[in-house]
Amino acid sequence: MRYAKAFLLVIISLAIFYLLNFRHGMIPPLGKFLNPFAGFWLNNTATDIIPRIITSRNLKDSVVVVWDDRRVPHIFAQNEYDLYFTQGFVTARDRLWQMEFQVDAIAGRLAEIVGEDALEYDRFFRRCGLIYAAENALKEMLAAPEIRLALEAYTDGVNAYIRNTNARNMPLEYKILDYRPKPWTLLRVALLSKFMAWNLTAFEISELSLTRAREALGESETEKLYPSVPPYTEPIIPRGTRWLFQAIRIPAKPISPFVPKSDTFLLSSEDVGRPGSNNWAVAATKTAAGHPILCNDMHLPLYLPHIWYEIQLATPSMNVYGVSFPGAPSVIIGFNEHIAWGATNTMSDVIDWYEIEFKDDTRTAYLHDSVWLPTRKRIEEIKVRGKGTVTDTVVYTHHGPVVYHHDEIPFDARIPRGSAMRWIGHDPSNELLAFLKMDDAQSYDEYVDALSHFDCPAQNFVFASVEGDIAIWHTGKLPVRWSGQGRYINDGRNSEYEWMNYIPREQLPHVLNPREGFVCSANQYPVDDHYPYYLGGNYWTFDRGARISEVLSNMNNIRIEDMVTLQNDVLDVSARKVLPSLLANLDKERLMLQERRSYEELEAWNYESGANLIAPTIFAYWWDELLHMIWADEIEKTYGDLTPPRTDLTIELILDEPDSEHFDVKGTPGREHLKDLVIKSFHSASSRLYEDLGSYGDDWQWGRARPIDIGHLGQIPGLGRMGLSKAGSEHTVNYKDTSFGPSWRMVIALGKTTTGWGIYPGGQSGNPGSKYYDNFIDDWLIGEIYELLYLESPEVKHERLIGQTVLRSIP
Amino acid sequence: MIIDFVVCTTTMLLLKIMTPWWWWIMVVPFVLGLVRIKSGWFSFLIGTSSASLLWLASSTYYYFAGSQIVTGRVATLVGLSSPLLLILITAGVAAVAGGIACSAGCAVRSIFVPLRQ
Repeated sequence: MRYAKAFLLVIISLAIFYLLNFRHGMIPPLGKFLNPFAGFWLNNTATDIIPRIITSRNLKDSVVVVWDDRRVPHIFAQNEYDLYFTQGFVTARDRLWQMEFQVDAIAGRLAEIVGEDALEYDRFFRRCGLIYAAENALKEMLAAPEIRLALEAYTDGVNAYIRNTNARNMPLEYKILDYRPKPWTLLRVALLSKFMAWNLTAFEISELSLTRAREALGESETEKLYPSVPPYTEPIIPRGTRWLFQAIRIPAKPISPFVPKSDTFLLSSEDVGRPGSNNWAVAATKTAAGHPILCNDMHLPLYLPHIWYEIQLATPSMNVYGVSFPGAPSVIIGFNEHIAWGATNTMSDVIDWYEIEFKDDTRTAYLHDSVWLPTRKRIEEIKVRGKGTVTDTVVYTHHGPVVYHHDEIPFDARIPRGSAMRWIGHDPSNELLAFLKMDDAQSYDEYVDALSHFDCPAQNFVFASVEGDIAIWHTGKLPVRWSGQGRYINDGRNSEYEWMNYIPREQLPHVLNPREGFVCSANQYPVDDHYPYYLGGNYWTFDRGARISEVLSNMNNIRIEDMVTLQNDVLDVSARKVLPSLLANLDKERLMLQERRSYEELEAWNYESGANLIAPTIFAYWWDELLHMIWADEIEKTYGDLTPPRTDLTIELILDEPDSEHFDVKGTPGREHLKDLVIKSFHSASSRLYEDLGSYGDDWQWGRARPIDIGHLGQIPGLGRMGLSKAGSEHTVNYKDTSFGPSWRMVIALGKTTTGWGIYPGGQSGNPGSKYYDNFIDDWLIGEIYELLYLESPEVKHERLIGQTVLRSIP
Repeated sequence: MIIDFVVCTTTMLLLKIMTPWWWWIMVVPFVLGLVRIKSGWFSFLIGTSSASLLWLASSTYYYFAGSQIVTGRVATLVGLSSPLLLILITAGVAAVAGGIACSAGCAVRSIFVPLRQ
């Protein structure tokens, strides 16, 4: 009896130990996690305390970090090594988990952390060759001595912090997911640059969907419904700009279009968010202060910890302020004493797909220009938590990796099976050099030189200098294409479909000090018809660009406040263009009472997507219904694989071709016209509004009806801010999508003493238990912006400075 | 009995301050049960009260000394309506772990030394 009792109790004790010491599914190890002496309780506001002194053997000299009341570090170092070491150290101190998780995600190493659920996710990124891309980039980076120094210093700084971490001060997410940080490496910095390259170039893989559309609708109809140059676009480079260079030879388009194998097609994919952005610079002649002003807001996926980390980096020869990527040295977007710069995504198509014909099932050879070429196989080892290692063989052709074979189910339905991926991101490149040079640039020529190192993701870099220059360059490594090349799946056997050359840097679209007195971009098509090269891409609709242009053209004596107002502008140019003709098709007298109220709201609407307005909600519901009615039959024809033509194209059709065949709903007796669809969609939108939002009232307000989510990077519930009411839409300068928005609003007034304003939706600390985790979000939602403290030296006194950390070198 | 409770609580407190390991709330009561405690029921009582008191007091301290934000977020994460419930759960986990471990230690001891009835 005594034996049995003792045995039983010991077994129960061991079972309790097992339950509390290990993670079970998504439940953290409760013993460790709840332990008040080391668990989550310690991820508290004590982490907000600024350390006075830190010592390190790595440092060559003392470094002073001054902290302001928004927890922005202002780093003053005597040399570059110490500067980037300290940047790595303080960034890791605030953002270690995020730094690591982002690169693990892109490297396909999440199964190591979360287990089998992430295996197919990891396999996808391994197949896409993200590590291969980072390895190629790293080789190129290490060839440049200044980059090697910055990379090594930053990595040393991060690792110095990682050595300081222990079970107690580990970031919260490590405790929840029960793992430990791995050492930071040079490759991980390269992986971070590929993280951005992937996110800004792979958001729209449309070849499969377009090829499908071409099969169902024919090429000319497809080109009409999915034009490569969207309608109404006012280009980034002013119309009429003369291109005086001798363009290099543009290859001829193959005579007959390539038709890929039919089993390439899958069911329709989920819609993914589209990164976008605005930037502009106004010339000294248009500003009240007589110096240029530069503005930028990049619309990226919003999550916590936020994608950017604000920082000032200073040495005796350089002083730069702006936002950095947690995980890489340098300031990415910002300003120094001489210049300011910002970026928007060019939306260039730099991923093409080539259907591969293998010689046999061993996939060791493939056909190319009538010759069998050998493939190269790369073995990827994917560690799966609790399950050992899964090996995966990726077949590489000279185009790039074959992401999924015909007998596999793609993780991302947009990927054409049996095709190799040609991505600019796989080529050796050195974007970091561009940023290091930009941080230190003093003139237009130095900005252009910095850009010459920037390949992918191609960006519209806007520029302004104290000297008074303003400029914009649509820049990156862009292939010379025959017109339309890369829109459909290509023939991998035929070199005519390949990129033979790249547009020479000096011939890329750009403009310096235009007559208009301003430059601006909003991800639209960059040039008019005079530009000699075809620029393939998935460009944004005209609206944001048009609004910025119209406001800037009509404005003079521009002040900072005017620029902040423009960044927060919520006038929907698309609605302004199309709504009057939609309303004209409705007969108010024949509407029901409830519908009449909606009609009156729209009639009185000033086209602003204000958070507390009801009209934008009514319009959005109506527009969605109308789009669905117009395009449902075309989509059905393609078995649901087609994405509906875009808003801009639909507006053009409504305004210019009200009798178009597309308004006829196939399969019904009689022929429908635009008017019929407008009336029908208005009725059905009205009933849907009541179904979704209840009776007419506050829940119909735009901010509530279409809230935004700022979730957690690792999708851990409770660590994000969800369901936030914000003004703006996909068609307004102040952009809003369900989880995308202005990730860093910046306004820089250049001059004798340059001043800057900025805000992002997050906070400097990555610790969810810190008061600096999400403290900017509420101000960001209502359009506030903070004055940036651009310090000349660490001795400067300012009421907003709250402390100093001295990093001392020890022998 | 009080002396056992005091010994158990202070030993755990000291070890927990010195090291980050959570399982002292099992090991210490187990050892105490093994070497000192003579009654089965008392062993459970001492293990459960000392471990839960230690975790209750320390988590309450942290809650009021800067951990409100993180407690609120973790409460949302695990679906609790109030962050204060997390303090009770923390104490509850310690109560079960400490009580059972101390009983187990005492039961093993009883194989060699008969328990006081």
